[in-house]
Amino acid sequence: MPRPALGSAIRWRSALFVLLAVLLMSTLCGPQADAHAVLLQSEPADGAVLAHRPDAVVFTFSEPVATSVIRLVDPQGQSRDAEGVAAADDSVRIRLPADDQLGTWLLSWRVVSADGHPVAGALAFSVGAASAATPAEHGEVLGDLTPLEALIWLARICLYVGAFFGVGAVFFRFWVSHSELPHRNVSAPAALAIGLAGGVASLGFHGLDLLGLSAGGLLAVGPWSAGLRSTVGVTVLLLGATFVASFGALAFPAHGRGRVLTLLSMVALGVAFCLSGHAASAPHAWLVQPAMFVHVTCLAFWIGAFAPLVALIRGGGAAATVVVNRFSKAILPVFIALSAAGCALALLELSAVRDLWTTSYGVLLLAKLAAVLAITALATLNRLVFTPRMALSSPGVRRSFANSIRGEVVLALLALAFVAGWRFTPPPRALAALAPAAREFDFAGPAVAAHVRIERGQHDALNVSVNLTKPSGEPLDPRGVTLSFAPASDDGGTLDREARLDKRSWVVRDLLLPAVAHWRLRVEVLISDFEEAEVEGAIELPAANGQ
Amino acid sequence: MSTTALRSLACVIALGSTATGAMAHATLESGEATIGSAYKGVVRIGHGCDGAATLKVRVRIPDGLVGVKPMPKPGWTLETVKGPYATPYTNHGATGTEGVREISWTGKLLDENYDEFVFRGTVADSLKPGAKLYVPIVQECEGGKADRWIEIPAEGKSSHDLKSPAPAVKLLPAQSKD
Repeated sequence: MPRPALGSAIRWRSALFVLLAVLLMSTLCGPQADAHAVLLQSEPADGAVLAHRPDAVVFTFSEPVATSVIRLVDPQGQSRDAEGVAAADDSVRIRLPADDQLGTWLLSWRVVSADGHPVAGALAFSVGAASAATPAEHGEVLGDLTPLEALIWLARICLYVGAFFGVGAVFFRFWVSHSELPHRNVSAPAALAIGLAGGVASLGFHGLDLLGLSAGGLLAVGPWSAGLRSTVGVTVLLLGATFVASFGALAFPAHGRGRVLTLLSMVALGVAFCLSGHAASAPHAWLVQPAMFVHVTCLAFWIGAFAPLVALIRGGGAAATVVVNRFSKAILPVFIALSAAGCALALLELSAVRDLWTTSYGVLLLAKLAAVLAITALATLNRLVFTPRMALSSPGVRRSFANSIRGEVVLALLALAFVAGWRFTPPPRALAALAPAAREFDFAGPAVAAHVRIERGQHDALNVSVNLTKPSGEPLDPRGVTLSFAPASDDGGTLDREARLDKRSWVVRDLLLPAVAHWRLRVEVLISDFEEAEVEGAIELPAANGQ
Repeated sequence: MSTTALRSLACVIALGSTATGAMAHATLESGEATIGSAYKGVVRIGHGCDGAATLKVRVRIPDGLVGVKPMPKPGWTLETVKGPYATPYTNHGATGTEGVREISWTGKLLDENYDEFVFRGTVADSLKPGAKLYVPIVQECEGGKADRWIEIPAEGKSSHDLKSPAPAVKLLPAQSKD
C-alpha cells in the first residue's frame, strides 16, 4: 500500500503473465476459452457532460479484472497511455491527468477477466460545454434566450452606446461643431462610461458562455481570460481603447490635436467591428469587412451627432445654425455610403429573400430596417422642414426640431438593440454553408449495406444517421442497430451507442467525440432474434463549427 | 494490491486445470460433433444479463442439425418452433423435411446461479467435416434485457474477437463402419 510503484510493477507483470497465459491457453483450448467480465457501471457514466474535470474514472466490472491497455484521447485528439491505473476487487480506477482542457475525452480500455478472456470497450465524457460559437438552429427565436444570453445582449447594447453615442459624439465635436459645441454636454462622457462598463461585462459574460459556466464563474479568472482570448475580446479591447482615447480628446481644446485622436478613434472603431462577429467569419471577408467598416464609421458619425445637435439646437443662436447647416450638408453623402454598405452587407448575409421572415437573423434585420426607416423619415423632416427654419430662431421650431432628434435617438437605440441580437443568430449565409458540412459514407457487407450520414448539431455534437438495406438494395427492417466508434489509429475498445429508429433511419444523436478526424465505425445490425450482421468502414468527421 | 497478482495467478491456474470451465458466456458443453451421428447439446448459462436474472433461454437450431428433441426441465416451460429444413436430409433411407428449428425454456435463473439446458439431435450427412456449426442462443432477462450469443465470426476470423459469440461445434468426419 505505501509503495505504489512496486504495486503497479507487480500488477503490470501479472497482467503480462495473464496475457501470455491467455494466448497459450487460447491456442490449446480453441473456441472453448469463453467467459468474460461485464462492465456493470462507470463513474462518470458514458456520455456524461460534467462541469469540472473528474480526478479519476472508476469502472465496476462483474468480476475482478486485470487491466492490460488503457488509452486516453484528449479533446484535441492527442492519444496517450493512461497512468495511475489501479485495479482492486471488481473495480478499476484510472487517474486522469491534471489537464483542464475542455471538450470530450475518450478512454478506451482493454481488461482481462479472471478467466482470462480479454474484454474491451470505451467511454466518452465531456468537460464544460462545447464552444458557444456554434450557431443556433434554424428558426430558434430570441424568446428562448437564457438569462446569460440576455446579459450578453444587454452588455453588447451598452458597448454600442459607447461606440456610437460616445465616440461618434466626440468626433462630432472636433470635426463638425468645432468650438461651437456647448461645453456642459455630459451625454458623450456618459455614453463612453456606459460603453466601457458594457465592454468589461461583455468580456466576462462571453467567457462564461464559451466555458458553459453560470454567473458564479465570474469570480474566477477562467471566463475572463477565455473572453479576452476570443475574437470578441479583440473587438472589446479595441473599442475600449477608442473609448479611452475619446475621453482623453475631450480634455483638448475643440480643434487641433484632439482632431487626430478622434479620427484615429473612428478608424479603430470601424476596424473593431470587422474583427469579430459575422464579418470576421464571412466567406467574402475582403468584401464584407470594408463594407462593415464604412457602415459602422458612417453610423457613428450620424448617431454621434444626435445628442450634440439637440444641445446646440436647444441653445440656439447663430453658431447653432451654422453647425446644423454644416451637418446637414455633410450627412447626405455619409447617409448614402451608410445605406449602400448596409445593403451590400444584407445581400451578402442573406441567401434568399424569404430568409427575411424564415430566419431569426432576417426577422431582426426587418425590425432594424423598420426602425431605420422611421429614423430616415424623421431625418427627412429635419432636413426639409426644420433645418431651413433654424435661422428664424423661433423657440417653437427649435423645440420641435430637438424633439424630432430625440425621437431619432430612441429609434437608433432600438435599432442597435436589434443588431445586438444578431450575436445569437447565424446569418442565413452561414446556415447555408453549414448544411453541406455533413459527411456521407457507404459501407457494404455480405448481408447488409449501410449509408452513413454524419453532421454537426448544436454545440458541435454529432448526429449520425444510418440507412440500411440488403446488399441488393431491398429494404431491411432490423430489430436493432448499434454503432461502435473507435479512433482509426487505435485498436482498443469501441464506444458503443444504440441507435434509435427515426422514420427510416437509425440515428444516434448528440454524440460527443474528441477532435480526432478519422474513426472506424462498425454498424451492428440485429436482423432477427438470432441473426446479426455487421459492416464497418472508415469515417471522417465533419469539421467542428465553433472553436 | 498484491491480491490482484495472486488472483491473476489463481485464475491462470484455474484456467489451466479446467480448460472447458467456462463461467460467463452461454456455451455448449461439447464443442465437437460427428457427422452422421447423434449430438447432445448442453447449453450452459453461467450468468444473467449484466446481473439481471435469466427468464428465458432460446436456442436456434442450425441447418444440418436434424431430428432435434429438447429435454424438458422441471420448473421451466418448454416450447418449440417447428419448420421446414433448408435442405431435406436422409438418414438410414428415411427422408426428413421438417423438424424443430427453435427451442425455448421459460423459467427463472438468478445471476448467481448456474444451469444447463439440454437437447439432442443428429448431424446430417450433408455437412462437411472440419466446418463449424454455430448454435445461436438468446438469453432473455428481467427488465427487458437480453444477451444474444449470436455472433458468427467472418471467414478466417476467430470467435475470440467477438463480444457475444454463438457457441460453435466443430464437425468431425463420419466414423467408418467397420
